[in-house]
Amino acid sequence: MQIAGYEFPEELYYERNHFWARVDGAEVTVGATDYVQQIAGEILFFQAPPLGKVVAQGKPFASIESGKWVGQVYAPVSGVITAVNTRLEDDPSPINADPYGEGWMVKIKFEDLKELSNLLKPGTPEFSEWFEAELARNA
Amino acid sequence: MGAKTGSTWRLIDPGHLRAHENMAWDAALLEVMSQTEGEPLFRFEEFRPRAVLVGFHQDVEQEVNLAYCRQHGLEVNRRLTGGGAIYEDESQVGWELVAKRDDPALPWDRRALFEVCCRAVAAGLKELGVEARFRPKNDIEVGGRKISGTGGTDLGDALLFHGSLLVDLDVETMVRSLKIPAEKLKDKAVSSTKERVTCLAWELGEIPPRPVIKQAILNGFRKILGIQFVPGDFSAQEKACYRKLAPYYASADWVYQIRKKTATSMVTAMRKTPGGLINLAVSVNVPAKRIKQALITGDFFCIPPRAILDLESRLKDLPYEQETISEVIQEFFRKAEIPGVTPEDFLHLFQEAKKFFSGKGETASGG
Repeated sequence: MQIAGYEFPEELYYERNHFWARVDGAEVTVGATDYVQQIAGEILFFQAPPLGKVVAQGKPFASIESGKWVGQVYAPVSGVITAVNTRLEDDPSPINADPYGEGWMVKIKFEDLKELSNLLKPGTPEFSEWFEAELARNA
Repeated sequence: MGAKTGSTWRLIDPGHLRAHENMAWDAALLEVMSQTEGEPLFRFEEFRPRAVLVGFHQDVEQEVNLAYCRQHGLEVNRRLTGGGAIYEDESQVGWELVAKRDDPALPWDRRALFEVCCRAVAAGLKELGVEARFRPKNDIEVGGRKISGTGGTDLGDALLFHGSLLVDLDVETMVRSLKIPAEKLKDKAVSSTKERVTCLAWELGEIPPRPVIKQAILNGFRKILGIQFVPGDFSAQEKACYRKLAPYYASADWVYQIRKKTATSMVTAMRKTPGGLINLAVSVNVPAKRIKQALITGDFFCIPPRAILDLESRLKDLPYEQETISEVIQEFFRKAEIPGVTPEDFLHLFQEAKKFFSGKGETASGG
């Protein structure tokens, strides 16, 4: 789904700092949204967490950098890091080129499926309300 | 974004601190700001002893001449913020803002934030008699030469943005303590760096008293962002957070946390042209195939001279691809002229240097 020039695949879940989660069994794959990569510009660094790190929903666990600004990567769900896209540590350009595909950052084995209800789905009033507010800030 | 009125910020001026103390204060102030309804604050950040600070994502060993730092008593630490490694001596005046990201005095857009803060410091410098201005995207310059860099980070709904103003620069120490392309120029390292950076002492022929410099910076922020300052101190909560964090920011776990398997490559190339000799020294992020920093020197004559500095600034962090570099060089030659030198000469230099990425740093020559 395209909203104001930003792509949001409908099958994904979104957390309010603009990171997405794709549910696959007991794991979620996580990455930055098209909005993040457009707003940040060219991302020059991605620092991944170690495997096994315990992360909490809505809390930062990794970082990206563009234009001398270090931004945090926030966890859409609580759980344990089970995989890291280490390729991005050498060359983070897929975060810009393909944020929902090759630009995936980590996989998290989640603790509690119920946390998904705290995330946003495109097409819902909650999603629209949140994203319109975000757009208004940047206007 | 124009000046707004009515914003009152707490002003903290703790004096010179050690590198890890400054880094821990940065972390503590940002953390407390993100956890509370915190009021915005402005802090001066000064270093003693001298220090080298790498950017958050940089590998110390790739960026810093550690043996030199040890021999000369320079501390080494890591910033929370982005950008490259910098040398901080006791004379520099660092400034920083810690606020909510939606603070009404600040633009939400990050590029606009860089611009207004650089314009604020430039306005302060004008008051001191220095014709400073914002150089996109992140710097403050005087006549093409950099006098202050900037960088930032955020945590939750809080941000930290800072910069450091060069006051009386010891170029020799800067060049020797950092692994930058200038060191490839050997005896020309200091003179070529002096053409690219400047400081208050060189611009004014004297060093204004520190309180005068600090007041000028505050006046700049007042003028451009409408901020009023009320002198204050760290809060009890900030002090408690600092005490909790300080040991970590003094530890090797923090300073050496990032170790790249991959090398930064430093390569040089040289070309004789009818217009003179051109040297290119360039540091490259090899796996990302990006230019980190390029230095173009020689005995050619560029009109206007500052165009070459703008070109170097423009090349920073660009993909090391022929098409991209060619575009930037063509753009440069539309605005500048170097008699006896063609865009193809420049492009050839970059192509020559590229052949040597995989090595530890080699020299190519051509022409």
